[in-house]
Amino acid sequence: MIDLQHIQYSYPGSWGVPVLEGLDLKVRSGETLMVAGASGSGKSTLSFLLGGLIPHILGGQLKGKAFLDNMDLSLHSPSELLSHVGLVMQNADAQLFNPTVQRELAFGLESLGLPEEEILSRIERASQEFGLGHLLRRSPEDLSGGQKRLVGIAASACMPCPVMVLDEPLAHLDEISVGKVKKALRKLRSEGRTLLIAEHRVQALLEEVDRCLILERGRVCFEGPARQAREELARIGLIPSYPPKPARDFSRAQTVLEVRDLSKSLGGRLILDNVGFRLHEGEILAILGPNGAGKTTLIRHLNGLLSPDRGQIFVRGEPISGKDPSSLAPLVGMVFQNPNDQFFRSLVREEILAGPLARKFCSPWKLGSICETLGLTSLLERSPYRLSEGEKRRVAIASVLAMGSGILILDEPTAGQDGRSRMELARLLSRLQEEGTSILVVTHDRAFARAVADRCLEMQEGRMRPVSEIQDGLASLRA
Amino acid sequence: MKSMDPRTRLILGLFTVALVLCTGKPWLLAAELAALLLGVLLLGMAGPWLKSLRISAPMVAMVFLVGVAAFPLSEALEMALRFQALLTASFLLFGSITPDELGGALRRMGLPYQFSFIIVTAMRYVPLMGRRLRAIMEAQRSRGIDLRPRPGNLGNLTALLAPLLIQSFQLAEDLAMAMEARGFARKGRTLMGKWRISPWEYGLMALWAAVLALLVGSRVAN
Repeated sequence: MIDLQHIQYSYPGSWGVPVLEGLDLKVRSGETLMVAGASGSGKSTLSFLLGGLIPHILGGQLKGKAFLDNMDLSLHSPSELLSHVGLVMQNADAQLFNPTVQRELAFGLESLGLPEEEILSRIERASQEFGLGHLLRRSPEDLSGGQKRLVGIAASACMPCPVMVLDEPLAHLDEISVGKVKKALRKLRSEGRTLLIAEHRVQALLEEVDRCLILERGRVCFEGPARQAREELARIGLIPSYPPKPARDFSRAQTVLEVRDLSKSLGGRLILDNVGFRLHEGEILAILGPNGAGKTTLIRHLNGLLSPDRGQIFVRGEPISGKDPSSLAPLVGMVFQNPNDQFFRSLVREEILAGPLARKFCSPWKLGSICETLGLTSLLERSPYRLSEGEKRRVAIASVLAMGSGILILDEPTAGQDGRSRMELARLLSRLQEEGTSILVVTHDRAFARAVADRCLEMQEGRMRPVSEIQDGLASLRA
Repeated sequence: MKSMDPRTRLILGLFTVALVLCTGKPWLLAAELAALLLGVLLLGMAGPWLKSLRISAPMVAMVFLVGVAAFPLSEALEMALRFQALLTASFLLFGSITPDELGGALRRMGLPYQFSFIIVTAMRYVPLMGRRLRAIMEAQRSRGIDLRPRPGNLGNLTALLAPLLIQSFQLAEDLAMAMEARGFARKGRTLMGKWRISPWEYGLMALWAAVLALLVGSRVAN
């Protein structure tokens, strides 16, 4: 069904540096193949090639032969490939561009010029199979991350195409949503479709695929059955393996951050219900919970971005109510999920110093020490936009630590990070802890929480679990 | 109102905007505004309209104050009334037609698909860009960059605009790829959904057109 022979591809403006090099691949009809690899290994590029975007839309230099469903990909545009391959892109906000879910499902079918009765019948079937019936009139903008991903898959599954290419279908999803997407993928497999899934959350998918291809800098470094791939993925760090964390008791240490009886409603809905906890000096505390549990709303209170309806927050014993977040930055550093939200300088060095310079204080010694701890010394003169996802995350942390805050809060730090970056991040947090930084990690990545945290709390529907359950939760995580 | 064909709603809305623009007398503008407010009440949109006043009222007040400074009071009043009536007419129009219906209406009225798609997609992405802007603002404030509206913070606005622009370009590129991958450029597209304009809707549009013609005629005659 897919036949790639000696593929070499370089993007326009890349001076001929290949992203894919000497790639040979055959995928049989009805087979499910997972393409694994670190960030920048060429997974998305391979998806674009099979979706027909390369070379017709993205340009660049393509060498070798590429066939899909007996169609030569270099001769047929994405429009001509529409009934042969469906591409589900990683960026769900771009993938879902129609005003309603129903129109989203209809778009490709309308493009094919199918009669209205057939379009409606296909939408009806897909909405039943993927459980989207109640969402048809909703705007994609109002959906959760998992729902958006399902709509993207369903819109492609509506089409009469035998091949589907999915680029990172599990990115940014919590465990519940991952389960729903896996169920959808099983459905597609049972229909006999040929699936190619590019993914860096490999562990979650290994049992769902027939074969695994591992890319390393555009070259195939492993190809084989899924059951043999696990060892190789662990060996090259794409399945993270964290060192055990020694148990330490911080209950007698000084409290650096305290949240008391915090409640908050947004849009008439109670998001936080009487939440309270303490972070101790030098401790790493993880707050777990699925998407929508209220974790991000909670941490937005901790540096004054939101004001509580009820309750109080104390940083080193002082209440923070009424203070502006920028004035609290030297006390509480907050790193959000998307590092790109904060990059606006052309060099990493300028980016890290932007906050201190804006507050009119700067310590070159501190900068040197932070960069050394975070392994950024060799990247200081590079553009932050051209870094890998892991490096971007470290620059974002450095720019927050440069403000001199001893408390670091990280929102979903493993989102969009491959296994190697997650392991590096875990090592980094341990180093920062040794240097005395108190850290609060908000995540739905339980393995990462287990690796880095001294203590775990869990949020469910805006409530923190009782203490006894928390201790049980940590014990079960460590087990 | 919702039972009307979206094309009828769109045309009536555009005629109403034209009526407000062509009206020359303050008392007539006041009457039009009163009629529009009655429409807001009857369509059950009073709550959202009152909320929208938080943004529109300062703008109308600004128009009135500038008008008072530069023109006689009657002209300032006319400017403010016209502005408020235009805002209310637009509120009614966009409150009673979804982006999906707007796109379908424009396509059925003969606008090329690409143009109607651009309009509807722009509406689809406005809230998303708003959310991105808020996320960028929070990230920058959290790292010590003061973005409060103060003269001394003007230079800090690059911290807001640069990431927003870069993310907008990235989104535009991804969007173009997603659209191409789903056959946007393909010819022979089906137009899903059967729409019908009833005779009484034609009558209503004819009545609105006649009122508009009368108003334009009387202004030309004067």
